[in-house]
Amino acid sequence: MIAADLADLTIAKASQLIRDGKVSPVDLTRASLDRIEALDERLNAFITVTADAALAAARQAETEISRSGPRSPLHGIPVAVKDLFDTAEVRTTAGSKILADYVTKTDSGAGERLHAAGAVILGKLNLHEFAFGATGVNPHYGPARNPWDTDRVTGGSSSGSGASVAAGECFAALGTDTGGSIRIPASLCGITGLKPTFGRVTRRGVLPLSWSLDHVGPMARSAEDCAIVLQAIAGHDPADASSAGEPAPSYTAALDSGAKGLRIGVPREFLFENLDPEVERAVREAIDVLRRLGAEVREVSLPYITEAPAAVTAIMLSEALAIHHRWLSERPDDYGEDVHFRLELGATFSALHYVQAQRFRELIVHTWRDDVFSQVDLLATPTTMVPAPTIESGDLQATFSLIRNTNPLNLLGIPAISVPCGFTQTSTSRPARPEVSKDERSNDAPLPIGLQLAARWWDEATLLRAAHTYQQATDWHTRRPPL
Amino acid sequence: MSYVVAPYQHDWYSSRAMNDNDSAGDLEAARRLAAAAGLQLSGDRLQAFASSLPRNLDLVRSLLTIEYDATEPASRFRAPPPAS
Repeated sequence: MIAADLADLTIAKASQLIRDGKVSPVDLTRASLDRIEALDERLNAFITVTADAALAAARQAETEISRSGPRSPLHGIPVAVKDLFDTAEVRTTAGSKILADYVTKTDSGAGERLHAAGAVILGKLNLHEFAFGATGVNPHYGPARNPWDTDRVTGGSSSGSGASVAAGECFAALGTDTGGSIRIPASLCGITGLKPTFGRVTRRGVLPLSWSLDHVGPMARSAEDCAIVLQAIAGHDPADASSAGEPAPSYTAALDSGAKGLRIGVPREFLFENLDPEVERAVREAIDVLRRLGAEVREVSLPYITEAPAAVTAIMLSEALAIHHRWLSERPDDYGEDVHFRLELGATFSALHYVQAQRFRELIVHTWRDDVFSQVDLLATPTTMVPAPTIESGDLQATFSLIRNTNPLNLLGIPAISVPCGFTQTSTSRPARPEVSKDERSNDAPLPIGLQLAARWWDEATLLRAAHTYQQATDWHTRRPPL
Repeated sequence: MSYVVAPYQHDWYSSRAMNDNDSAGDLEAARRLAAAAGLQLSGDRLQAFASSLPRNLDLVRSLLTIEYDATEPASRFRAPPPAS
């Protein structure tokens, strides 16, 4: 198998080839590094590439595996982490000028677990500044570019994670999700991204954006690969006060159980309103696929869904301002315009707004537990209202269309996944930069569309089972951008 | 239940309540609101902040109109409920 093909394998397949002795961790790591070398000048997915350390780790993995076999399906697999995760002796910029030279001595909790599983860390991935935005357009490090059309955003904030996984620069990535920052880039880049239940994955050593909304999770090229990464990073961390004691089951064991018997709810209101027609068509077709696979699909009402974005806004902006308060006072000019503005907006809200928003969260959590998840096992919605907007279209304009369907689920803390479910006809059928002719543009590829599935608290296994079943019946997730 | 605009009688809310067309007054009140949060805003930044206030407050209005149960026992947000 040639190196170019190796970089496009799934983790499940690459891991099997390692076990069978047909490829080595060094082969895979070289293939990833070659892909980064070839593409990242265009994609700008990485802020820091740790090539020497990655090759050293790959050689060590090779030795360990030849001696005693792989210790997990991630052993020897090249992955990368959003540059918001502390990484020992490697800078963690958070996509900011303020932390441009910030270096810690220890790894994040999730990073430690990746190491423990034997993963090879390739480097640190670009993101929206301080993870506070949905486009991934970063004024300090440049925008990560969508591999399907480099004039377009990847979505954010885990922008480099989306681009790098889609382009085959790494086999999986860690992202964070405060209002959709794993699922949005997964949707716009045509990969699979999972936001686990709040408390499922440790946040130790991850720079916060909003303490009560931040989640850590995997982004990969299939649901099965997300299950493999989640298995490695899930579970209680006594050093993280927000980490839950809920035991992590086997996420791969139930993957092949099919969709028969699953009750899937399609929201009657709000989350299907004002969609791009191609997005709505693709998502409804995906729901039909699940129905044909044996799921019982029914309409469902989602109490308080229209109020949820207000609560997310009041909580996220207030907590973000509290986190950034000192820097915003002392170094206001070191923030990009859009992030500076969002932080200022935190001052809009009073203590009453914040407390009622948290109180509203209690209300919606219990109402959904009793009234929604008593009727259905899963919810199905579009991940975003639109496909990838152009980089030039402006952050504030794009943000609402990207976050509307994802951010209520951060308030609820329920697990949610985005899986590729189709493509637009062609990207050029949509407005791009008018001054750029078709010939000068990066490509004429259609744009990915994402299906969002959500499950009740702690039930990532059912979520992954449904996503995997869908991916066994469709090939959207196997398509690669024409780079 | 009607929306109570000025639970704290804050300058900005009071200004809006007294005179919807008082843009200079709104700007000064917005400056004070930001200053109360430790932010020193001026020029375009202050203007943008002041312009965003009505929209943001409209957005969160619903949080104040929901009828919460004032007799519910004291309990902090419990994160997600445990698996059943």
